[in-house]
Amino acid sequence: MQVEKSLSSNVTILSVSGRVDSGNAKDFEKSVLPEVSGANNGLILDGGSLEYISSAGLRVILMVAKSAQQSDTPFAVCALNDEIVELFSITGFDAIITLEPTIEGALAKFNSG
Amino acid sequence: MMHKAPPRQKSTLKKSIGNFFGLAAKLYFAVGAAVAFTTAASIVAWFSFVELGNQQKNIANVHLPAIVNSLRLAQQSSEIAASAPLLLTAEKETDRAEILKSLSDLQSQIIKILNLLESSFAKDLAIKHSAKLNTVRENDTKFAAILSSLADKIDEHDRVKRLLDQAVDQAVKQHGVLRQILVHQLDDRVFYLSTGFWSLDQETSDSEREFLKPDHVLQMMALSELSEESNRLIALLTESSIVTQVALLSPIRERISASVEGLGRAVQRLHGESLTERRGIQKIQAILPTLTRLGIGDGNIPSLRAAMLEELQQSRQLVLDSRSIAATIADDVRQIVATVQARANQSVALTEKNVELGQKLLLLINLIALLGALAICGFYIRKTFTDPITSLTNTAAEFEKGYFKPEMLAEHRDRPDEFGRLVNTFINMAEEVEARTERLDEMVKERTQELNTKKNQLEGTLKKFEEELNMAQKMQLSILPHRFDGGNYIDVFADMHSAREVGGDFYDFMDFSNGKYGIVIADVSDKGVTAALMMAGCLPRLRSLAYQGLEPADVIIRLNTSLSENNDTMMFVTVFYGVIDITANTLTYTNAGHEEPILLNAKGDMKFLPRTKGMALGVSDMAQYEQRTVPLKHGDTLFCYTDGITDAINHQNEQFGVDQLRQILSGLIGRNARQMCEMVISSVGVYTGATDQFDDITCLAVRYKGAENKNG
Repeated sequence: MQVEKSLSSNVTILSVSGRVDSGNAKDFEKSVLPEVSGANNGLILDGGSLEYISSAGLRVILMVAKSAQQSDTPFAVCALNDEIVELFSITGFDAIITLEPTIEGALAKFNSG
Repeated sequence: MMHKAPPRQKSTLKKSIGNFFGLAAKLYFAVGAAVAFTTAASIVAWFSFVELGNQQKNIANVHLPAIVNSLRLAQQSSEIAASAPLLLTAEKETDRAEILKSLSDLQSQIIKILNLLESSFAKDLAIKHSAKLNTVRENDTKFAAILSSLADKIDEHDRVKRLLDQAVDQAVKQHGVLRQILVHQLDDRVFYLSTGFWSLDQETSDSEREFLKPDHVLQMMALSELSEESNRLIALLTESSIVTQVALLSPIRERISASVEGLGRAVQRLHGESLTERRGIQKIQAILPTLTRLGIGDGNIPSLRAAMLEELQQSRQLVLDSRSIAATIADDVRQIVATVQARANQSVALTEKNVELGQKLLLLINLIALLGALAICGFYIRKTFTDPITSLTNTAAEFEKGYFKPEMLAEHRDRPDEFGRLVNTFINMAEEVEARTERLDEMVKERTQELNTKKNQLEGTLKKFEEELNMAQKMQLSILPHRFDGGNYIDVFADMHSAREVGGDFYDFMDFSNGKYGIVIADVSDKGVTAALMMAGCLPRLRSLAYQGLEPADVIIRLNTSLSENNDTMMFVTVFYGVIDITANTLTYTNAGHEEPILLNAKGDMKFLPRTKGMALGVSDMAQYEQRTVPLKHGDTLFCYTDGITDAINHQNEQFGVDQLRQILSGLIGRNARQMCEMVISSVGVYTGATDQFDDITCLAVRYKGAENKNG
């Protein structure tokens, strides 16, 4: 698991790659959660290279979403593969977390909203 | 620390001496000794080569000129020996004079060369060979004397020869005159006497006839005899003047005497004044004494000839002497040359010997210098430099192994140089290090003891923790149902394999005793103790709500509200809760974010139970849930599972997947619930192989047998 940070139109983009499971979920939390406070113009979690995520990883994304909601920071998860989108669908979290097929789509939504 | 003080005092005391006999000084001394050795050897070599050079000079300055001179001497003496016999054969007087002159020149040159030779050997060979040189000198003088007397003899010979020639001339002249007279007197008479006739053209006078008288004839005879004797005498004189042996002169002289007597007698017979006057007897008588004197008188021809032969003999003897002396000189000179050559050869041989000796000497000197240097290296440097370093190294090596033996350095400790100080410093440092090591060892011992205590405590704690975890596992498992009694209508079985001691999955089976049965499968996010606590909080609440007889959706809604309170960590749980009604042959369920269970019928058809609205529990208290009801037929089997089954990976990181699950399930139609669960779980185990199980694996199977029984 690796997380890389970049900026686009003042929106923080965190690109996560590899597998996130209960073994490295704590690391994932440490590298993602603190970024919410500095990302006032929006935070995008880019899952384009994410291969697998377990329930422990989902919990971290939920924490980020909750933190973003509390600080009115726009948040979206982008470019997930079909299996992970299905996971969000099964657990019902797609109802409370914005999923976007592309980063550009998310950025457009942030700007319009 | 205890041994530290004394050696330091010692080293301070010796410090001042050490400055004078320091390592540098010793090294300089060693190098100096080697240099001195080499220099001494070089000087000896230099002297021996100077001596050689002197000998070479001696050869060049003394022996070479001596050889040249002696060879010249040999040449001169050979020439003398060769020229001497020429004197004998020389015909002309001028030739002889020339030969004599050249011989004199050679003789005087020999003296000069002898002088040169003597000066060449002034220091060396003069004494040894003066006898031979003197002999040559004497012989040369003798040779000169012989040459001188030879010249005299030749002069004398010439003088006598001239006299002889004069006498012969005189004799011939006198004889000629005599013959004229006699021829005139005898001419006609001899003819008449021979033929008996006068000449026809001449008048024969009486006087003429008188002439033929006996007296006259006797006179004629005497005249004839006179003529004959005079002819004989002149012949003898001539013969004596050319005779080559003295011995032959004596008979010739006798014959001359006889002839002179004959002449005398013939003259006496010529008497008669008239005749005498007429025929010039007086003239004849005047000539005869001269001829007689030339024959037997003073300074007569035979005696002159004898004297001349005598001179010649002596000259010949002198030439032989000179030849012999020349040969002697040549022989002596040859000996001198041989001696000089031998001497020169000796000198050259000596030089060669000296050169050879010099080479050997040089070799020896070099060998000695080398051995000296080796000795210096081998003993002095070893003792001064190598030994202490070796001792220090060995002691240090021993010290490194943990055995400090200061006695190994005892012999170097009192040295008054840097090594002595180094050794003392090393001993002090080693003792200090030893003391520190002891202290460290003690400290390590203490710390090790403390660590062991802590370790034991930790081990105790860990054991206790493990025990507690085991207890927790037992507790958790005890919460889960173990008896699956679904009566005649329901065959139910469930099993859970936790990834860790305690897990986050759970299941439940409830008999509401009114023909309704509750089934639960759930998955708490994350694993381990946190998940277990969540599960432990969740399951009893769910049971409590379920046993109150609430509809599945209500149970879930209330449970969600309860779990969502103060859930900052966003722990969530996916729950499938269903109620089987054997009276209505239905299944009513609410799925809160859990994997859709699979429903198989007896024919093998397979479908997922449709999702219901809502999400996993504990995330949002605003979430809304609904429930669904599906009919159940006899032989329908409901297979519930957690993502631990579908997400299991093999060694190639490939997921087990829902398709493989469906495939396995399709092969298990007709099997009971327990077999189904066990077969699926073992298949997952085979698939993952040695790969670590990273999630809890849980499944629950319900085989519905209600409708047929009722119908049948």
